[in-house]
Amino acid sequence: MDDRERALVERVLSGDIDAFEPLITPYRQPLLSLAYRITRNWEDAKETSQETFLRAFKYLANVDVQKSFRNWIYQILINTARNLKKKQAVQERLRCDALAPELFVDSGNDPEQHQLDRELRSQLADCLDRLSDREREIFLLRDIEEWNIRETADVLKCSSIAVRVHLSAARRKIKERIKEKYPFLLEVRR
Amino acid sequence: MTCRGTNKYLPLLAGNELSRKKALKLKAHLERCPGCRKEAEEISAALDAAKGLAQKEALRDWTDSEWRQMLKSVTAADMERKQWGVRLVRKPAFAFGLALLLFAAGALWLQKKLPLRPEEHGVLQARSQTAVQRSGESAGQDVLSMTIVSQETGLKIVWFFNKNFEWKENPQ
Repeated sequence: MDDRERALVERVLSGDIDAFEPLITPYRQPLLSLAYRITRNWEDAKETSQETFLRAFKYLANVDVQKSFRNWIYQILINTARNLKKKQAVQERLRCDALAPELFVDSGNDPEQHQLDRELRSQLADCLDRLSDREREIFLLRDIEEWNIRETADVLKCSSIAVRVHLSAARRKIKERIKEKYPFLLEVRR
Repeated sequence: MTCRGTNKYLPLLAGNELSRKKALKLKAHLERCPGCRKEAEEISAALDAAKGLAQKEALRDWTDSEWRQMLKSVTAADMERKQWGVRLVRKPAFAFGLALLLFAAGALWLQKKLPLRPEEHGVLQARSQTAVQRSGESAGQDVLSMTIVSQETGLKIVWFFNKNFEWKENPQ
């Protein structure tokens, strides 16, 4: 936790509620995006993010100022998303809501761009759907959010070896899916 | 290094997550093995493609009104929690007060009951009634007599008690 975050945490804990906003603002969009990528549903993503901020506020006194605030709040998000998924049995809904349009930036009136965006989302959603929950979490944190192995393991409360194993499996599954369904993506990059 | 052994580590090689020594070994194998090299290239390309898709996937942020509302609800929930906290703090006090009241009531009841000693009182009452019956007098009498007879000498002592429990011995 850097000095700024530490100072803000101390202010919130001493009763200055207004200091909470600058503390969480840097995570406002990243957490929402990650929540969406985990749940694949806009409403769930919003609910997950809100619950994350609520828990962060509620349990701020428990945060270890010697450790990363980012890791702590992401850990809350992951746990909240897991709980929500368990509660709602989202697995079924993932297929139906995979293309929930509300979360995305409006493509304007350009139908071609709109179609392109839609395809893009469909491809990524399709690839992520192939992964188990654990693999998806690890893939999203390590490859999309670009966290290192140790941070990922720390947030997910597992060993670095477990992260490597799941990451390998996730990358291999994604490769297989892209090769099978979207080979043009590989061609473009060769 | 074998193809099987190499293949196992290719996804990690694509993300630069292997030690330098291991990576060099793998790369040496890839130089010699076109099959493994193709697999490694595909994994790297797929990984890049997925990252590219994610980067292009411009996800929406909270709108300012949503953000404000969310922050407000977080704060409101905390205020509610604090109120509950106050209630929780008050609850033990309430419980302690109630316990104190009950204790006081119990103590009063005991104080009222103990000096009378209901069991002993009953025994005394029974004995006095027996004495009354034996003496053949009515229950509303003002004087109570008690006779003690020595079995060895046959000496007989009669005590008479009045209402104030003042007694006289063999008044005749």
